[in-house]
Amino acid sequence: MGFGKGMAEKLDLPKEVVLDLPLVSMVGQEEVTVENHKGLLEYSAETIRIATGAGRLLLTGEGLELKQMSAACIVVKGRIFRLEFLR
Amino acid sequence: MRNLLPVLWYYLRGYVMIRITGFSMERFMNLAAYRRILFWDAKGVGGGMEMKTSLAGLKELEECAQKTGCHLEILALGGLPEKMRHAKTHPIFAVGILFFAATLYVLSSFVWVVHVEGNERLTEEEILTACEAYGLKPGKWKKQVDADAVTKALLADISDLSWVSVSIKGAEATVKVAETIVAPTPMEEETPCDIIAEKDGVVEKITAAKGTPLVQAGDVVQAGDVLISAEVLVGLEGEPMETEYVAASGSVQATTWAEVTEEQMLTETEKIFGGKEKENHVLLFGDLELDFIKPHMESDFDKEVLEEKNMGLGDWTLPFSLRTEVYRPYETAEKTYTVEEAKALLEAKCKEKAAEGLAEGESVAQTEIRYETYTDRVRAVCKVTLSEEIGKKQVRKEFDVEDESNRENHSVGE
Repeated sequence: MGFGKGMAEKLDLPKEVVLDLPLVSMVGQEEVTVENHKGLLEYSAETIRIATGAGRLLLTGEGLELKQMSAACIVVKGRIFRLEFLR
Repeated sequence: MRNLLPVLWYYLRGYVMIRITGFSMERFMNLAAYRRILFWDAKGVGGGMEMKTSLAGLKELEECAQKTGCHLEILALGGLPEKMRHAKTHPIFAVGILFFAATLYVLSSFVWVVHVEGNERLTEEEILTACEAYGLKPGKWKKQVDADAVTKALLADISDLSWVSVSIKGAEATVKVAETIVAPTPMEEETPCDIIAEKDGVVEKITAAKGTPLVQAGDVVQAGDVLISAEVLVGLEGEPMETEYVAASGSVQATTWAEVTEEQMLTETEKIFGGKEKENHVLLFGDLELDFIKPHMESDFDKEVLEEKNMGLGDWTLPFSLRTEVYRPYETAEKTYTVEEAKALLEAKCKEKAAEGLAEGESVAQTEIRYETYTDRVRAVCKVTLSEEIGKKQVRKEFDVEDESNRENHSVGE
């Protein structure tokens, strides 16, 4: 892992590709896109847990909704309060 | 955008709304995602989950549900194919769509707006009235308008036009014109004329560029008096002089007098704007104004038109336009002036009025104001002394080209 990280930094390669990390982007409080995920672990209107290469990602909020899901990315819509990595 | 495109695609192709119930719905979703079946708008409803997916993926999803021990239920079909099916069973929808298309077609086959471009000396109305006479006006059916005929007729009718192009695009007709170059009127330079006084006054300064000056500084002249004559005596000294006629030119500055009266009421109602301004939208169809929703105003208000926008797409103009107005509420208040204040106001007004229309080099030399005070108003009578140009060209009677009979006499004489 240390070698990959150093190389990614030196060569300025996208880390999410080299290190198999999730790319999380957020639009305000209302939308989160998680790319490069490893599957959905839990789903309800208040909490969503997603497995990623950097551990489990926990989203808490209200009225959460899966706007779209595919093997490559998950788009969550709703009012997001917290975004947390569980180790 | 990335997410919108497939969703739009599935909207056109048709999609299914399904409901999943069971213990491990997450496993079901992971499996579906792994198998590259797209689903969207998933939301938890009660104990289960509702989502939309493509028609093609439905069969595989059923497999997924079976594997993960979930129960899959089809709620409804959606998308365009479904809408079409719906339209088939409800003919009135189809009729509505057709009616809309037909209305749009009919409305766009009329000329609704006529634009004039390129006119400088001619007014837009002149050209529009001429166009109207040959059948090009708002409200005409496009097929009835013969653009070539209108072009020819305009050229023949208005002599001042050298080029005309009539084009109809959408519901808009554009008349492009080019005006001829006017030949300068020969009278200016050649026709013998005198410089006469326009007003009564005392001559201050006289400069004759051409012609014989007849007055001097200090002379009192009356309106109509000849100041610079067109007659010039030419000839060598000692020989009989000959009279020649020229177009007199020069400037005559004189002191003139004028009287200006102004009035000022002592109490005036004044509008004090304030409060919340409200916007109003008016739909215009030709001359018809349709104002469906008027804002409720508690006090008096002034209207101001902000903009008028034609409703149409690009080159397509429709006979509708939308006018945006703003209503400004005001309260009226009585404003009273003292006599002194009124006088000050009047003085400024009088001076402004006196200076009105003065050209460069002309000035107001003196003002003398007499005030008359009444119970409710003050009246100012202002005697203004002006220093202005009073010379005016006048064609010599015997050389007037406009006068037919004169010209005939002239030729007979020769």
